[in-house]
Amino acid sequence: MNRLLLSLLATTALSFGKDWQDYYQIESVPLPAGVDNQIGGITTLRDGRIATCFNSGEIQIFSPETKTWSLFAQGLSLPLGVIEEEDGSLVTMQWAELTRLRDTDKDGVADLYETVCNDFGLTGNYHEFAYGPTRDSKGNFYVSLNAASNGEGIQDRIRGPWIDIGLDRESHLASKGEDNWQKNKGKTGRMYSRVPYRGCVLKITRKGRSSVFAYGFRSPDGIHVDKNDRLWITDNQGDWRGTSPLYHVTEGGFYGHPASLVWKKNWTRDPLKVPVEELESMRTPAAGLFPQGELANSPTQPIDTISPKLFGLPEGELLIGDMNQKHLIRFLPEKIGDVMQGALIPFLVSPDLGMGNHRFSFDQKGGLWIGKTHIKWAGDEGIKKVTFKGQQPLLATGVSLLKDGFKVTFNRGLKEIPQLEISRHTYRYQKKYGSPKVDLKKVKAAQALLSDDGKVLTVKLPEITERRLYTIKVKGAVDTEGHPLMGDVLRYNVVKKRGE
Amino acid sequence: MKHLWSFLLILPLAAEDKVPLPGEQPFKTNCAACHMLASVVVGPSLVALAKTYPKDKQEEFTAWAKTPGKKNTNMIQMPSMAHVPEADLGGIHTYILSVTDGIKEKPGKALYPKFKEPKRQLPYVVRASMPDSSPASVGVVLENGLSVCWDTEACRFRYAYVGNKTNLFSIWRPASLPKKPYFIETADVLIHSATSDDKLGIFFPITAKLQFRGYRLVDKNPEFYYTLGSIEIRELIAAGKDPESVIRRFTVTNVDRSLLFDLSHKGKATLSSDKGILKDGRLTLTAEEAKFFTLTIIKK
Repeated sequence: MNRLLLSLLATTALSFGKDWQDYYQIESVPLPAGVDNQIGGITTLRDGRIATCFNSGEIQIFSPETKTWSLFAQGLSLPLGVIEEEDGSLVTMQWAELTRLRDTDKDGVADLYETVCNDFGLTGNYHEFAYGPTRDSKGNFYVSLNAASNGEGIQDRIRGPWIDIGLDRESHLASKGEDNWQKNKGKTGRMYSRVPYRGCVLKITRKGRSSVFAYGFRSPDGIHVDKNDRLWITDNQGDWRGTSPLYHVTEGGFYGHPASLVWKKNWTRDPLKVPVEELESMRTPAAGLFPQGELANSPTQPIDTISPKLFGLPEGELLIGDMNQKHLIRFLPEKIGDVMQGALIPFLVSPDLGMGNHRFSFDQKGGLWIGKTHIKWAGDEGIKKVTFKGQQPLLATGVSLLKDGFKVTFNRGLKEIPQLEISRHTYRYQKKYGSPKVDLKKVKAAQALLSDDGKVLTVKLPEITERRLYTIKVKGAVDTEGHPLMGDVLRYNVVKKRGE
Repeated sequence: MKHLWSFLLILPLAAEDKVPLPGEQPFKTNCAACHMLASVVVGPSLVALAKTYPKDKQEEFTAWAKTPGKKNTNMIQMPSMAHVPEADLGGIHTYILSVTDGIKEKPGKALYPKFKEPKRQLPYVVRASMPDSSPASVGVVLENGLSVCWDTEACRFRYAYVGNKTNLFSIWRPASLPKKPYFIETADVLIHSATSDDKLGIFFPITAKLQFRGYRLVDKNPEFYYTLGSIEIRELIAAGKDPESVIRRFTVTNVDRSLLFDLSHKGKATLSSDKGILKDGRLTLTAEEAKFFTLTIIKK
């Protein structure tokens, strides 16, 4: 009898906390009529309302109190981000320009569509998405520009100037027909940048003066300045991207995709003809790597985590979405010397969350608003709101590289040392699309130690290899009450070893 | 009791350790972004692929994946999957056949219903790539059934056409117009400097930088704003009082000289101005006249 009671009690305790939804509520937000339900931008306004960009060109504002929508702006071309300024203006990145939307007559609807910056090119190619803005503490905007795709050529009328490095403009014309393109598409690169500054990140002052901030991007959908003024960008697996990366971006840096090198001062060579070794020596490695098909296929916007009281996650992390996976991803940054790297951990793994999680904003109460999109690729539509129920799941709250292993910190003590399965691998840096995992090796932990309070797990490894992604599967970890570890695969990208 | 504990503890952790179907992992890694089970997303559905490549056509499947061509003209060509090991490509084929067993594709069934443009309140202003204009253009759809293309790169009115189509933006190509324009401006440069006392058409270019600044909605009509050096130009587009007419109301500030607007055009329309001298499509205005004037285009 006693045994039965005990086991029943144990079952009750354990049945709570095995699903993410025991900790977080996921609900769908009603949408306004007459819009394309795909979301390109979402931000919480200071008054608590939620401004949302729809792919059909509207910015509508949702009042969580009255659950009603009101139109703020319309006729925009694929706005893929929005932020609020001090005076209540909204700034959004459209296909062709960064625009400030101002309601000068205070009737709740924007009447002034002010061009902040249109100082970049357009070829009419379908892949020239423009993302942002995000903003630093000085008020500068950052936007990221896709390279064009050789899935198609260019239109006759472009916003240039066209740069004459590589295949000639005439041969790119879609109007010359499919046969012409099939013959020529291989000569321009899988993703190409022939008008300014495709594949670059632009820095734009409040008044609209722009400069190229960084080079080497392919499809940088996720752009975010964190509260420490660090710029983070996610990009997509493809050519020159063995798997999708997360970059910490600094001024003048080159982030691996060569097409945009033509916009560097005094650059004259065809990027396709630069030896890989030379590109390798120029590029900044990713801070985080999302294994394709496992963690992300097309990662999206990163945002800062907020107070653990409001959302259950530690502050100082990034939360990132993905188009294909039904989960979000935490990034725990760690700086080793001057190199930014860190660990990616799955979060909120749930069919109810669904995929296509594109844009994010925390409201003042800690609710996470998620805008979804697909643009006819994998993804979803609509808006989900995630609310923390108040009890923190058992989480890895720190993953730190040691000179001979890793130190994993938890928010609560573990009951015992969990089973560990560790491997490491890398990807090829190549022109070809994607990459298999290469140099994949199982790593046997030489030693695993748990601190007395159970909160610090130290894993000693025989050696640490730089430029390898370490996958640490923590199996069967539970706290003293039996709640399982939520997010039990830690993927730490070792760019640089910790010094002696 | 101890055993029960460990059994219960392992259950919730199984998500990432579930035994995948053969070929499932390489499929997820390389294909899942574009190929859905029974609907067309970017590429054909798995059901369609299983039909094209039945069990005895695995070799053809892997050959195509390594060097794909273009079978569907309305779809993007797949990138080569030559980096995927041969065994994985075979596995992907097996996986496709296993998950599509017994599943049918409804013809034309899309994963998401196509967005249907709502009836917009006119006038409606929409950013779009438009034919014979820059990819950074604006369509102005007026309430009288006429529409205008305004180019933010050249900072000028390009043409007017009949129709009230409002879904002009597409990432794929310039908007297709319902009708060919009935009024098209043809001059390479719109605004020139004119000698103040000369109305005979002697003029010269202004070499200042042309910069688009945005637009203001005035009763839902757009007033485009751009600068030419220190000259500030605002051009409001609206339906005119006359049937089938479009007006362009200019407000020009910081102008200290006579201006010539080269409004040369083709098509079937008449152009008039309430100020200055309009001759052979060229409008000469004194500095004073240039401050505020209105052009009217009436469709013939």
